[in-house]
Amino acid sequence: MEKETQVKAFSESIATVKAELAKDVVGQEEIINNVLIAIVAGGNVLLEGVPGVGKTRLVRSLGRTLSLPFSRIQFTPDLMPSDVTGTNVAEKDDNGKLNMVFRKGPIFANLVLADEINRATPKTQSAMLEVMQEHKVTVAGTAYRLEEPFFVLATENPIEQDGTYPLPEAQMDRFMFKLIMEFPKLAELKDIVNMTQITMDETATAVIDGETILQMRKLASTVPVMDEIMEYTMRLITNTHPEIAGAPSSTKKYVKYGASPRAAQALITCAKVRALMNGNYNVSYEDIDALAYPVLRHRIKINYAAVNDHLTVDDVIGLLIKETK
Amino acid sequence: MRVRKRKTNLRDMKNFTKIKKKFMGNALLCSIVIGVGVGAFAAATPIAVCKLLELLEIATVDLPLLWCILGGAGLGVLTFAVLLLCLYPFPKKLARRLDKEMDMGEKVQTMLEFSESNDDMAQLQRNDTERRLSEIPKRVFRFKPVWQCIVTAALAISMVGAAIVVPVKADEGGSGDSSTGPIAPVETPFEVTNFQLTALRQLIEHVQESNMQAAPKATSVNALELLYANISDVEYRKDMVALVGSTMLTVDNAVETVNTGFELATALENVEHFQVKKLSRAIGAVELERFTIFYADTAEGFKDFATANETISSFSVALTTGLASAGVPSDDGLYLAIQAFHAKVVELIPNIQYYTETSWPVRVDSLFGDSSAAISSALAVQIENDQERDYVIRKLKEIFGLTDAEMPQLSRDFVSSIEDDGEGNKDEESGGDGGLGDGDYNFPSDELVLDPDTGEQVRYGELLAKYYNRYLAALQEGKIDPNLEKLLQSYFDLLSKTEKAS
Repeated sequence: MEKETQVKAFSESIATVKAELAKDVVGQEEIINNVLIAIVAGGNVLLEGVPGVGKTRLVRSLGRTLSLPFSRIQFTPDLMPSDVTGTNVAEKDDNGKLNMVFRKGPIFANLVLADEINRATPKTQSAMLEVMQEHKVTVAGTAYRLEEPFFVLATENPIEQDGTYPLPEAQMDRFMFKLIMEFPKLAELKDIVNMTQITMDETATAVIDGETILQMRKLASTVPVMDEIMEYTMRLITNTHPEIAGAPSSTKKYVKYGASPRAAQALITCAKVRALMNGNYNVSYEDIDALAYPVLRHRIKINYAAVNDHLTVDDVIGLLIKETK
Repeated sequence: MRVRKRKTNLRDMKNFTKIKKKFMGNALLCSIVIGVGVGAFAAATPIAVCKLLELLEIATVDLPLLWCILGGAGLGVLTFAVLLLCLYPFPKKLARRLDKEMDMGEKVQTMLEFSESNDDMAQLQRNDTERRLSEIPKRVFRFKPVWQCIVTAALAISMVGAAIVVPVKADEGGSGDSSTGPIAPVETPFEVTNFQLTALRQLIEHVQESNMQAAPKATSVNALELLYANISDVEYRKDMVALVGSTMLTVDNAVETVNTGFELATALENVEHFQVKKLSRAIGAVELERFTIFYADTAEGFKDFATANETISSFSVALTTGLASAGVPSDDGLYLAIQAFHAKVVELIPNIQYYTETSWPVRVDSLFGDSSAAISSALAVQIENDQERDYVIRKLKEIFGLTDAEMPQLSRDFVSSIEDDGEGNKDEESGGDGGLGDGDYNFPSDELVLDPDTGEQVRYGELLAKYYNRYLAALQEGKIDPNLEKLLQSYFDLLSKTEKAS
């Protein structure tokens, strides 16, 4: 059966990509899994981590492995929107005639690393996020479509908050996942040091291309989800809202405001991808529960009561899952 | 795009269907074991409990076996049905269970939900799930007797065993208490004892030697001989009760046929003449002593010389009317004796003129005295019949241990409290300490009677109390003949007996 071949190819591709990435990125398996899920699902990722944990390296290696053009945008307070999207510049042609030529910005890549996005001004942030949403750039009335697959991995430095412009919640909602890149473990750190002593260059090679990613995306969308799981997912998202009647006690106590319907879309879409990645042909409760954390942690706002009780967002999500079951 | 299913189609899910059948078999087996266990337990428990209660002589409960069995069966069937419904492996329920217990990650439920889908991915999912189901070892679905089955089976076996093993208390039949008690179960077996046969033979001999009138005696003896002949063939108590009751009725009817005292007394009582009513009382008296007292009282009414003519004439007319309405055979002994007495009374009317105030009472005493023997003789025969009838009935009740409830409907209330000495002699109760001015007398009857002094209807007890007070007053004034004193005292003693039956 053709579908069976496709599914086999899907699993093999993922496995191959992971193997290649492992050459350049030590550990961080969960991050790599989730990033791959987001790419296949067609979403963007917000990555939080201290400097030097390998965020840029990960995206660069990913770009190499997926044969996708990669670009890195370092956001600073003085970065303008046109610095991101590109702008029209006047150019003299061979005849000496001045023409307005659109110079593409660094956004015109398949894989974009938006480093320290919270350092940019809200104006630049919104320009970036608009591109992320619509996958096109409009300059002087002309729309320039970005090539698919288009994936943005934005980073936030959790340490330096001075002079930053935290992303508003509405903008945060556009990210499919928020992943937290932990500091490597001792053994992993040792491996990193050993590896980088030999070479700092990324050695991962291309194993799949953009077209394959798109096919994988299409295949994942056909994975069946049974009604009960669908209802469970909807209940999970609804239960993040404390104002709704029947919300669990933990939500009423610890949540200020809940997730948007995008969260439900993200959960189902990513769950399908995860199921296929794990060799399953259907979405399970485990898929939903596992993905609830990256999908919801940037969409739920916890209140002071949670902080007072020393609860993190992940803790609150855990309580929510328990009470929804 | 996911294709929505319409219904569950197990056609392409062979492995799932196989597992479903296995679970169905397990559910059926479990339901049967528990259903039968519950049914047996429910049927056996009341039987065992009742047997135990009877054995320990706590209570005797009439428990129909068929109802116990039917009730147990019904409960067993209901338990089976409910259990089967609970355990039945409905596809969705089974799928959920398999996903959970086999850690299938919702594969089976998804397969079921998309069973009708022709989508490639859905088919792939179905195939993958079926493959995984086929890899589950068969021993996982083997029937494991759950603890509920074991406990139910154990309880049922123990209770059925108890119901069978606990013995039924044997019923001796007739040797027990004959007082009012719980009615023996209908199907209690009966076997006549030698004691009973001997007692019955003695009873027959007693009746044969008694002074009972010939006709009722012959009938009674025949009935008792028939009972004697057939009692050994009786197997159940209810049949024994019926046979003995039938004998009692035969004896009772035989006596009632010849004893006309009651009919005569009733007929005379209905006549509106207080002298005739007194005569009625004399005839209706149970013992001869009472007859004598009432008879003497009747005679007193005639001794007033001034009104004798009128008294005798009206008495004669009233007596004629009373005798005519009695409806007894004209050759009845008592009837003939009273008729003879009447004839003598009528003879007096034209001869009153020949007597004086002094000689008239003597003539009256002579008349009554002549007739007394004939009437009392006829009455004695009937009293003897009554006494013998009472004796036979009481004896039969005692020999075969009939309860009051098992007694047949006789011509009159049978007083089971009167004891006898085995020879037909009743133990006459004194009815109190006796003696002058001694004790409280209870004149038991509320029956309305005619007060001769006032002509009004008064309570019998009230009237007797009045007479008794007169007797006491006369006694104190020395007006009572010493020879009559004892007789009169006995008379009032007899009348003052309280009714033990109440």
